[in-house]
Amino acid sequence: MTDWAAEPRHPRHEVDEILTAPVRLSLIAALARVEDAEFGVVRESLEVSDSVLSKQAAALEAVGYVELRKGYVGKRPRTWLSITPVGRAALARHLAALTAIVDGI
Amino acid sequence: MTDETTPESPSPDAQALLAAAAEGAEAGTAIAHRARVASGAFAITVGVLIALFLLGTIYVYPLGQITASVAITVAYGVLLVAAALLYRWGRPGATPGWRQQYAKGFVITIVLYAVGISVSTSTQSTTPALWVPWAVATALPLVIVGLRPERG
Repeated sequence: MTDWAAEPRHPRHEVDEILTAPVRLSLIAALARVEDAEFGVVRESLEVSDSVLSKQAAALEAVGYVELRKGYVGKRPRTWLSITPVGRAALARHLAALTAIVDGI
Repeated sequence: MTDETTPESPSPDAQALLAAAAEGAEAGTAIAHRARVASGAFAITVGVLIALFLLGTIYVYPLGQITASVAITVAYGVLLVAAALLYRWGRPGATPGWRQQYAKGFVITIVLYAVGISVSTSTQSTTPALWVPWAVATALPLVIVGLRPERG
């Protein structure tokens, strides 16, 4: 008989559902390398459309992984994106889980 | 067949997600590089402007030529504001720790500037042997911040 409680949890349990969308994961991984980044620059770097980036950034903001700061430079609206400490921790856990799955642990 | 205790074979989804994360990280590195270049140029510009203003204050103000003094002050103000606006307008982002590094460099530069003005006022010295190196030293903290290589 298997002692289920004693078995180590499979790393898939550590996978963060929010970060299973590739664009969302790319976005948060990009933001992990900077203190903040301007919306247009991120869009260009990730090669996605305005609407895709807006939608994914909003999803990450909703769970507290990313912070969106809106402002103006002259009369032009600008949005700055940054990763939160919660988002950084979630990304680290998620990447560790994915690596463990790929390594077959 | 897979159950709760059987490790799965490497999941293609996990591999695809890791690839997406790697692509994102690469994009982030590129953004960080652009941010470093823009903020570095800004820091160097501010440092050099403050050093030039120090020299202007020491060599032109004591001449008592109101027009020249006003022109230097206005030019300095306009250039500083233009640099700040250009940076604010085009900055792609900021690298981790940039704001703290810039703040430190700026404070040291301003202190050197203020001490320079104070020494100049008390000694009335205008010898270039003193003030040119002092101006270079004044600009140096922000120039160093501007030229500092990217971390990691």
